Amino acid sequence: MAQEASSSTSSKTISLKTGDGEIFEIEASAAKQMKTVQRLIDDLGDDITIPLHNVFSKELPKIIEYYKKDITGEITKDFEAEFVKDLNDDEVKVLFLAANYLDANKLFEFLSQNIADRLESKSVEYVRKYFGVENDFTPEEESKLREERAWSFRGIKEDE
Amino acid sequence: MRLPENRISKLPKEILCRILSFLPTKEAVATSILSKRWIRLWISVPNLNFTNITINSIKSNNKFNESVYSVLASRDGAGYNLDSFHLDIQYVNHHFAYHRSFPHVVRWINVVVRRNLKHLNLNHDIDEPDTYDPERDAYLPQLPKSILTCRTLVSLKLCRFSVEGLLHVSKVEFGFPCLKTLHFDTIYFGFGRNFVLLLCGCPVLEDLQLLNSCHTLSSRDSEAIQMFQSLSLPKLTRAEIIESLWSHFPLKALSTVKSLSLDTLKLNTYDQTDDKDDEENPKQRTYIDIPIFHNLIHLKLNNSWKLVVKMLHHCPKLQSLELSKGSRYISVDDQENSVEEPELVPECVSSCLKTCAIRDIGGLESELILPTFILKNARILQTMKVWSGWMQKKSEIEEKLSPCRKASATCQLFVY
Repeated sequence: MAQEASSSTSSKTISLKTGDGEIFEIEASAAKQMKTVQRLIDDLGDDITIPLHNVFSKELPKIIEYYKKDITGEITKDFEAEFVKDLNDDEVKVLFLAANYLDANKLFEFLSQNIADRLESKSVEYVRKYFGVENDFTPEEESKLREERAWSFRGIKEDE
Repeated sequence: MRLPENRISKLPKEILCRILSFLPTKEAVATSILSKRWIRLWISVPNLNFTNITINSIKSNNKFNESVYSVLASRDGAGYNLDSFHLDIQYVNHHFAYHRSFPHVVRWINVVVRRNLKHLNLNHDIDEPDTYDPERDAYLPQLPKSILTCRTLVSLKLCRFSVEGLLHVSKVEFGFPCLKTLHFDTIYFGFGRNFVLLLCGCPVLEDLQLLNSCHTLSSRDSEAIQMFQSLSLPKLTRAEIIESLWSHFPLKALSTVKSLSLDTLKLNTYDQTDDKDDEENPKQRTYIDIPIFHNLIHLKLNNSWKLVVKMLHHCPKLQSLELSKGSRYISVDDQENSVEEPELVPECVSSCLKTCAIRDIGGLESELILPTFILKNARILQTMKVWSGWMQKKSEIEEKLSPCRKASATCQLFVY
């Protein structure tokens, strides 16, 4: 496959290797949107396979899909809604962590919003589980805090 | 084996706050119960968002007030800056709004504007009463003047306020040097000069929206008139001016926009408050100088179609055109001579226009001249959508437009 002699990055692709050993290709312009990847390219060069220890083959294709749309400027509200429609809460969380690791700002913002939307009005226990937070309050401390902030707990679903 | 649950909880505070910043403040505060680490995490969230609030009783009013004061007090103690403050409240009647709630709203605003606020969005609405209440409709609450001292604002969106009295700020200090977005909905300026001073003080404005707002600029205030006419907004990319009364709005100031939505009456120089005189003396109407809109891609015009073609001659790169009739002034235009087919085809129609949408087409022959003209001359038009007016049968319009010769082979015509 002949590479163009020009220095434009539009036809160049970068190879990414996930933590579980799979290799994916992305456009160089998409790689620019992921600051971590770009930093690795700057340090290691763009003709070697960039290792991404904390991103795995389950989520990377989805991220690549997002940025493929982004570089053509086609990201719309409809596209974003469709993008997360079939993802469950945990899958979104994994994508979010990957976007954070990759320093992929646009995807990170969008997924933050989506997580916030999903957690809105969920029960306290659900949110604790989601964030992996251990409840270190004593029952007395917790009920005192609930009383102080009573207005903020109205309308939040109770656990089934 | 990786455990995503643990990873997310180990994320630094800033990342967790980013998620919380997309929640309504009430929900963010609720996270204080998650664990000891989270008690004060929400306080670092730089957004305060009290939206979808309904106040329909003394009890709900008091509870809401208590919650906002509580939030502000917690944050104030920490001394954090605030990026954005968004208030959207639905009141059941104007008594709750203006007597029981607004005195507090003003105090909250006075607090938040001192925190290097960047985004301010204030919206409120009052449920329609069954009977017309002149007091309610005539009354708009006073805009808290402290907003005008907030010089860090990047976006300002206000709905339903009145700006009365002369504002005692020096001309030099007036305005918002960082403001990129200005949206006014139902904002009334008692003194037009205040609006002019405000707009002239927003040199980096990119997005201007004026809905259902107005001011009257005294014809004796030559200084303000001069300032208004020489208004320059070099970074403006989007403007929408609908259902608003402004005397002699300087179109030149909008000439850099990519997207424009306008009542075509703005193109007339006559004072809209004097339109009674002009019905008797139509010759007195003269048209304002329309600037060339070099970047304009999307244009939406409401009201008179007579000026549409004239406008099109000033938009060399236009790709999308949308036309509709506003609710007012239709009869005035119908009395004019029938619209004739334009002689000269505007450059954008023949070489750039890709989509066209025309609403409220009625039964007059003159109303079909424009869509026919576009179909016949738009060589790269892809879609033409036409909506029949409420008195008109869709099939009649379709019969008249379908056989029309189309300059673009790929053009699709839709009649609704």
